[in-house]
Amino acid sequence: MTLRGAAIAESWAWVMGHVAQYLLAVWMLAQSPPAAGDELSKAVTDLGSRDRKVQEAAIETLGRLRDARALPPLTALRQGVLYLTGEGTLVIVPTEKEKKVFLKDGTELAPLTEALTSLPVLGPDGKPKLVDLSTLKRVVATNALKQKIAPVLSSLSLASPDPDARKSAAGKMGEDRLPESIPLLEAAMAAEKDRWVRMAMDEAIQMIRLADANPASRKGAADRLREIQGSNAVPQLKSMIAPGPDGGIPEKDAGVAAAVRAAIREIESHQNLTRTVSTTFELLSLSSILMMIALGLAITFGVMGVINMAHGEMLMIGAYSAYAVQTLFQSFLPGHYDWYFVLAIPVSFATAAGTGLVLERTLLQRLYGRPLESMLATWGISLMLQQLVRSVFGAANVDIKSPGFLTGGLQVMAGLTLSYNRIFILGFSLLCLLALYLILWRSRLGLRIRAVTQNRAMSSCLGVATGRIDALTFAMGAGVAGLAGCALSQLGTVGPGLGQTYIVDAFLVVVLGGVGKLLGTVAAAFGIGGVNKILEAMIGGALPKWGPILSKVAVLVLLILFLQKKPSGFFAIKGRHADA
Amino acid sequence: MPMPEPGMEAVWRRLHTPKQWLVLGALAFVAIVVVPLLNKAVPPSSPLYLSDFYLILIGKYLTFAILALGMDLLWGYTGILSLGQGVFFALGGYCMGMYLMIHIGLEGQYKNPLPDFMVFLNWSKLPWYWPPFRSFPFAVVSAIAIPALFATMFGFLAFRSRIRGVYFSIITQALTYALMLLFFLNELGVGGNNGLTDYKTIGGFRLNEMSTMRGLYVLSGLVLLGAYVLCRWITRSRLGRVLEAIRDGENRVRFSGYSPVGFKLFVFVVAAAISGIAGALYVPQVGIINPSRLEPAESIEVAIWVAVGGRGTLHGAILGALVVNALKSWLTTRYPGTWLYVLGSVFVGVVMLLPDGLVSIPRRLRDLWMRWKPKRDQLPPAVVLSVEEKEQRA
Repeated sequence: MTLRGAAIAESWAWVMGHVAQYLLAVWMLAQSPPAAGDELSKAVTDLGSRDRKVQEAAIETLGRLRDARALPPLTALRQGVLYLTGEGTLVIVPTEKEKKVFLKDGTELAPLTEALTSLPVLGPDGKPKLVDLSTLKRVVATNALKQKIAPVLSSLSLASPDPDARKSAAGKMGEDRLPESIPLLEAAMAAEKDRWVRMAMDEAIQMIRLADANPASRKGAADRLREIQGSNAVPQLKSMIAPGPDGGIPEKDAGVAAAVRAAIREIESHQNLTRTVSTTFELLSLSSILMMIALGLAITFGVMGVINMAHGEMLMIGAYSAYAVQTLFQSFLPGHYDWYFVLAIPVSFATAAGTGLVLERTLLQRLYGRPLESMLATWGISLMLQQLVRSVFGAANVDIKSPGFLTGGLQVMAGLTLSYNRIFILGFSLLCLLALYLILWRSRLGLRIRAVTQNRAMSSCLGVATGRIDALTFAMGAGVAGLAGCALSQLGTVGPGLGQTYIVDAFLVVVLGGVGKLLGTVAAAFGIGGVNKILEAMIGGALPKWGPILSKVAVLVLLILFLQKKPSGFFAIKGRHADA
Repeated sequence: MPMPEPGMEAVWRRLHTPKQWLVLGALAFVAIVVVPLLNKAVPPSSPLYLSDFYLILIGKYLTFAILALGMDLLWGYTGILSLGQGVFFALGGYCMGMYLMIHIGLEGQYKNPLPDFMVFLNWSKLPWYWPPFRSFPFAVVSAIAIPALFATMFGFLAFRSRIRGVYFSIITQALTYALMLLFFLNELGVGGNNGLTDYKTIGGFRLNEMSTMRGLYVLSGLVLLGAYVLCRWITRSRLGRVLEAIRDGENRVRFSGYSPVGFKLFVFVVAAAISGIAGALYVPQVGIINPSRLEPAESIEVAIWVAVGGRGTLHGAILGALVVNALKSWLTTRYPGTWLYVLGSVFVGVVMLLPDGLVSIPRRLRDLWMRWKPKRDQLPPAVVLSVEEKEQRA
């Protein structure tokens, strides 16, 4: 038990660390000093001027000041959503249509943000005020002015507190290939602490230098790109050596061309590596979900000999529970939104396990010894649960937003980011596996469950309350599926058909894994998940459209062939059963 | 009319008692002769008139009943719950669909001898497996042979490695699912997502004329009758005894010196062939075959038809297919939101409350009556009052 305690404590520490980091960042943003200069506020106000000269001067000042607070008004000016109110305050109107209200008479109402402070404009009731747009005056920016804004914006973004914003700003400057960006990038690079952002800036500089007139500089850029595996530069590199209609290549210098070729070769092999790693990672996280689904199924199948056709719906219930908790947090505790997920995990487990318990007590208990009929009955339940969810939550898919500490990803090498979502799912499923292992092999309940799996009549004779074990096992299996659903909700949308997507594969995992051994299920889940994904990649390379489908067919064929050799799966319980 | 040989007569007698034959004949006469006449000969103003829509609908139910017979042979008599009968139904259907598709000829949207979806995909000629389906006999034979062949291969591998019970159900379900995905592919050349549809003629008869539809209806009825007699013959033979023995105790059968593999394979292939014919009859009547027929849910529904009617009885399977589908048609048009709830509760209810299906209701009522009757007989006669006496007392 101590082992489990330690593991949970560790994962908690991890989660809490991220939460703390996030809160700190929010606090710092809120506390940024207001008196960083009247120069800044003057320049921002000047943006609203009718005189183009004044506007230009203001943009130049803002570029010089390098203050991230100038980003919203500048962006707004370029997008044409910067407005002047009657009192002469500069405000920003949201670009998203959803935030606006359109009245029948054509009036457009929108909540406003003050350009200088980035705070929402509040009404007398303390809530964001909806303002009729026709009462505002739009600040006009000519195309020439917008072109002036662009470089200032990117250099400001290079100073943004958000590393992703800095990275994408660097990437954009690399795409634009303006030689005057180089000093900006170099300055930013010198100050940059994050290694991946620094690399992105380096890549941008080299991409700009690839167009340099000096062959030595071009060669240096190509060599450097090769060193840092600058995959964004590949199209540009390729265009340099692509044969034109006359058979010649744009790059005239032979030394540079050789360096470019070498760079392309090396970057592409690196890309292959990152692709392999990311496919493997995806495969692992998908298989781990499959494993979680199949574990519950396999345990109940082992104990009761029943395949729960509604197991997929337990997954769906878990996912919808997470959605319900999220919605509650959104409406009642919007300030603590990230915490919803911490609560969603136990709630998903509890709802799914509760449903499973009710299902077992009312239905399966009465069908003992009739596995085929149990299958049909649970199928009926699954139909009803799907319809129930449709009538409660609607037939359309619902969106689940990951908590802040699960968005984004961990960059491990150039061009390879592992999303926190998937890392979390992998870790979470391994934790569940560990917990199940401890319950099944290190607790009295587990002892009984294993006893009933091996010989129900004998266990009953020895005083094991088999009915209670059935109910508990079933609830536990359903609960684990609920957890899997909760984890799955982080990967995308959740719909009433969610359960059906994974269930056929999970059934196959149970068949392949054999009954009564966790290891068999784990091996089968990763085996089926892995073979599926690998075949998909292999077939998909030759016949793109056939990949995902033929791999499924092939997995089934392989499974049937495998069962010719080992009819009871990877690991069968040894014994003398004829009717095992 | 020549008398049947004594041997033949014994066979007939083994299948049914003369009285039962009489009932069967009467039912068949109503279904095959009277029902189409209600559509053709009765004026539309009459209350007895059967509209075109309902005749075609019942025709569809008849093909489902054929499918249910195969399922019952498998599950009800041999104890093999296949959740993949839709595969064989769809294979048969696709064979017929390809024949019908080729014979659209130049009447399609694009006025091209190629089927419309191929024109749409920019294909210049028929794939190699299409031209044989120009011939009607080939299409019919392959609608039976392809499902049967497929069942032979799959069944051999499955039964040989003793995949049975829940395992077999799961694997057949996965099979349906995999094939559904496969048939969704445009590149397979059978219409992808949209399937095969928009047929014009069958064997030279126009499919938009009611006489053709009545013909198809009568044909479905006759095939249903034939399939019933075939299944009855199988189940009443010694072979049928072995099948039931496999259902009730496969290991005992094995220990008694029979190898179940051959028997199970035989019945699986027969069921597949029957399902294939059903599919081939279904497609021209409904006018479309697409991969949705291969959805796992569709195949599981077949099991519930059989369960509702009463598995282990052939007439139960037919009854179940007709009742459940009639209920489905009625509910999905009347109360669309409720159908899944009803279907779900039918699954649960039949399994829990009526494991022997609708056909067991008369027997159950009789049992109830028998249980109640002796009690009544035991009561002293003086207490039993006639209605008049009751009224007098009151």
